[in-house]
Amino acid sequence: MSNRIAGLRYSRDILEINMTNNNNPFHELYVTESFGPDSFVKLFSDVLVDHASALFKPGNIILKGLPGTGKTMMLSLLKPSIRIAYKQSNVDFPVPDRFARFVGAGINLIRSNVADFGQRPIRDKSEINELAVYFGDFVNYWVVRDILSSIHELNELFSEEIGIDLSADKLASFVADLKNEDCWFNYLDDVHDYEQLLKKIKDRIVSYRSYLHFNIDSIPEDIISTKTSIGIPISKMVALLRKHNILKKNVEVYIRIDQYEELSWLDRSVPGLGMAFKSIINKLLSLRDSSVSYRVGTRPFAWSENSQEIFGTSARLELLRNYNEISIDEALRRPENGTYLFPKFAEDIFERRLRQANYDLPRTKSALGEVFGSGMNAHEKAIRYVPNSRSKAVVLDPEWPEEWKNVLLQLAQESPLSARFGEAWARQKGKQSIVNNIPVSFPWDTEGKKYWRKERTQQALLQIASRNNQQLIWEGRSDILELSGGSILVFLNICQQIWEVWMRDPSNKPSFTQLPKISFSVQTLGILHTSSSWFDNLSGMHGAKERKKFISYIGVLFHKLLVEDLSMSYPGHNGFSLENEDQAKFKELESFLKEASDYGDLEDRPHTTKSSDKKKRTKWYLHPILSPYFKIPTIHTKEPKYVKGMEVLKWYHESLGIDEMKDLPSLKRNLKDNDSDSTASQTSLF
Amino acid sequence: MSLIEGYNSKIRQWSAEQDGSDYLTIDRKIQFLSHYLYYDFEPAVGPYPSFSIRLANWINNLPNDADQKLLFKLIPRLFYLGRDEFNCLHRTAFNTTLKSWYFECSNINFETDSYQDYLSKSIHETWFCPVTDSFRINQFYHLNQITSKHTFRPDWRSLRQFGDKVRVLDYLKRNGVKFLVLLEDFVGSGSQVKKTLEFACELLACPEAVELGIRILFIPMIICPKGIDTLKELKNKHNSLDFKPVVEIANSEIVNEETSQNNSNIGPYVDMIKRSFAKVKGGNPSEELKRIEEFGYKNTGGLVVMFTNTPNNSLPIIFVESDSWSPLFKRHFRD
Repeated sequence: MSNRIAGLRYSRDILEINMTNNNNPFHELYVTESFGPDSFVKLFSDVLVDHASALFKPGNIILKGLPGTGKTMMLSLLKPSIRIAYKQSNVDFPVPDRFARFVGAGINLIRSNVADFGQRPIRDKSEINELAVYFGDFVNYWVVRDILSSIHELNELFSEEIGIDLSADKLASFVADLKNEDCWFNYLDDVHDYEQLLKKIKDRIVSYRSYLHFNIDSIPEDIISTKTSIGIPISKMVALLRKHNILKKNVEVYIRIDQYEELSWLDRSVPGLGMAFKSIINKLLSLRDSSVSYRVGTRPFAWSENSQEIFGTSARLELLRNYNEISIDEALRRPENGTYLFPKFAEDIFERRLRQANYDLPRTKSALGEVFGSGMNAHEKAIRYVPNSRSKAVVLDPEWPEEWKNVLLQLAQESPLSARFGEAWARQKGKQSIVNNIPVSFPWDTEGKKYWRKERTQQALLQIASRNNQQLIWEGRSDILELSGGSILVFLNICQQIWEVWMRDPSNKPSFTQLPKISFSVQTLGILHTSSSWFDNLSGMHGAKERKKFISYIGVLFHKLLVEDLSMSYPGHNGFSLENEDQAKFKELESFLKEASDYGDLEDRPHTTKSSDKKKRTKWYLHPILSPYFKIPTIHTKEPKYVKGMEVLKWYHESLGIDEMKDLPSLKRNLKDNDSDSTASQTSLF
Repeated sequence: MSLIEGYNSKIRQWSAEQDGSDYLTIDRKIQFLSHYLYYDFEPAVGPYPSFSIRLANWINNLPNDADQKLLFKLIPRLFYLGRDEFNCLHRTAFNTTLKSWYFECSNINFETDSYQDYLSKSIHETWFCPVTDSFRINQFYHLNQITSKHTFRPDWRSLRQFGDKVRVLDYLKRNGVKFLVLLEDFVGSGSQVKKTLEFACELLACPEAVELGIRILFIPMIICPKGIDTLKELKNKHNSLDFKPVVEIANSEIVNEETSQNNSNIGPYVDMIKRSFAKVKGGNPSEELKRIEEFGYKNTGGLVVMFTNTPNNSLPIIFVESDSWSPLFKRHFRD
């Protein structure tokens, strides 16, 4: 029997919930969806603005990012309400002055309910292409209305700064010209003044919504006969706004189209509909119209090369020619070497959240370090993993001489980690003689073997914890940043869960001013909860069932490989590496892996191989936040597991419980092809 | 290590075991329920430990890991009824249970043109009363927006003890009562309500009352299997009595020796409860505690907790407070 709690509750309960949770500065993960413009000003981090500066320059931009990376926040800077909030709060607008002469408007494809266009045919036998034209018409009118609305919103505080003039005579001549444009197909003929224009546009949008919500029986005839071509009314109107000096000539108009991936979901309810709607948006970008620039916010998977058809043509969008891309993920993901933006971004957001919750922040030190500490060192962790007997840090080979065994056992009392290194050393090829020729100082402890130790530390800790049935310790600033994997959503989720665990103890009632120092045990449990719920939630998205099973399979496999590798010869086996050529042979497998990467479940990186053939390879890892769940290290050290496409395919099938030889006859051919090193392409994965 | 740190440390440790992520999932569920559901538990309002402290203490009642894990895993299986759940029960009792009963008492149904008039008239001729003082009769009237001439709504358990039968009959007659609807929030074994219902049935069976033709409906919001058996027996004896529970607890949600015969998952709980019972009762049990058996009053073995109180038919490990046991949802005893 389960408690029935899912239903709607009353305001009293909402109050209770807020009373319970509002002490957690990270309770709300998504700022843009739950905070007003004033809070946005306090919570928005401008760290990414430089990286995304192209958003504030002319030209179409595709802003790509995984969920929660901050796309919508970046696009929000184009909204008048946000700009006004900055002004009213006396906080500098994060966009440099030289790029700030713009008017932003747009459409959020979720909030404008475009999905409704798939719910009701416009005519008895509407075809997808016809629906797409109506969708384009709806977008046109929505955006046109939003541009006018933005200009009005900005006029009061920014007329000088931006260059807006809404004087009556200019509006009158603008309307007179606008209504005569061919693009409206005479729909605006009965408009005589600006107020009527606004009303006419609004009425059209309301008519669409009324119809799609089954409030009227049919789309009014005057709409059916005046469908507009995507983008044209927008361009014409902006050109006239400039011509009539309502907007000065050098004022840019940026149109946001957020949640583009929403269109991908439509294909699931009406096959082909999402693709058709995408081709409408793509057509906007193909117009190459200098009067307006479009900014499309999308998750990476929705912006794939095979979905860039332009409506009504066989052409496709071209990068650099039609648009430019900004990838937030790439900016925030840790490179193999060197520094990256994410720590600064995370620190900034962390501090803003705490400031918003009225905490006093340290003036010089990092707040993240202050609250979570710098993390305990590996030796300390190793000691905590052997709470009952330090000698359990090592597993002794029965064949080893007693003297060597005693050396390791004695060393384990002093340093369990060093003893574990010693055990591995004696098991590695070419080093086994140490068991008979015990040196005075241990080679693995020398400066010269610094990297040997470094590469194996996480694996050694994992093995010691595993041997003693201990949970891995995850804590401290660097662990938290590492586990976040460049995702601010994961970072906030970790902070949220740690804070939740911390608040369980009534003696930790926040003073609201003094920053807490949160213990490692609280941090570990919070991180374990984040990791476990992250894994649980993998099932929420398209194709996630298969991905979740595959992730689970390889997560368990990596853990097993790392724990069973007693000589610690393969500390990098928390990931796998596929030769690009081999990967390409398995088209559907490749697409499955890429999709998993696009959803943020896997991470892929080019792999500079140490093999003599120097063939190009790609290495694949789980998202770091899944590491605590599967008890595997986050660090990408040494060589990942080298595998063939066929092996990954086998993992895939085994994860789904499919006996490929029996159930998928087509694979027999594949196996044969690959065995003979054929370059023939794979027929079918699924 | 503080109490809560100890609890956190246990969850962390358990999560390292094979399939240990289940403990994390349960822990998250418990924390969620504590925020969204358990907060309105009335016996813990005021100077009483918070849920997180009670939780940690409760798990620590037993010394070994295996038993602690059983206690921990039991929490999401508790059937906690908060204020809102009770509001729903009250509304369902009125709109579904009661109205269908009115139709059963007549030849009228929803297809009859005058069914609304009949319902209005029936409600007007009904006296809604609680069986015991634990049912919040005022809330029932408010939630269902019942306008009534009956400003007296005594609980019939008290009426049986102190009431004057003649005056009660006179009241029924003067007010034209045709339906007596008796309500109760929870029925475990049914022994407590049985005497009161018998009193009502016998009262209305006396010659002066028979001519009034009053029917009795008993609506328990929640009832355990043993209570159903008791009430079926009672109904067989009294023609004027009907009973219609809103929620019937299934046998599969009962933890006692009987149910463990058919469900191997219950066995470890039964074993743990039996081993722990002496500790639960403690060294100096109160009179009511002395009467309680291993699986609750009359060994009902319930898992029900209501925001108003924990029934004594639920497992004592949940609600008993003694010198050697800390409850998760303490029962406020009547005496």
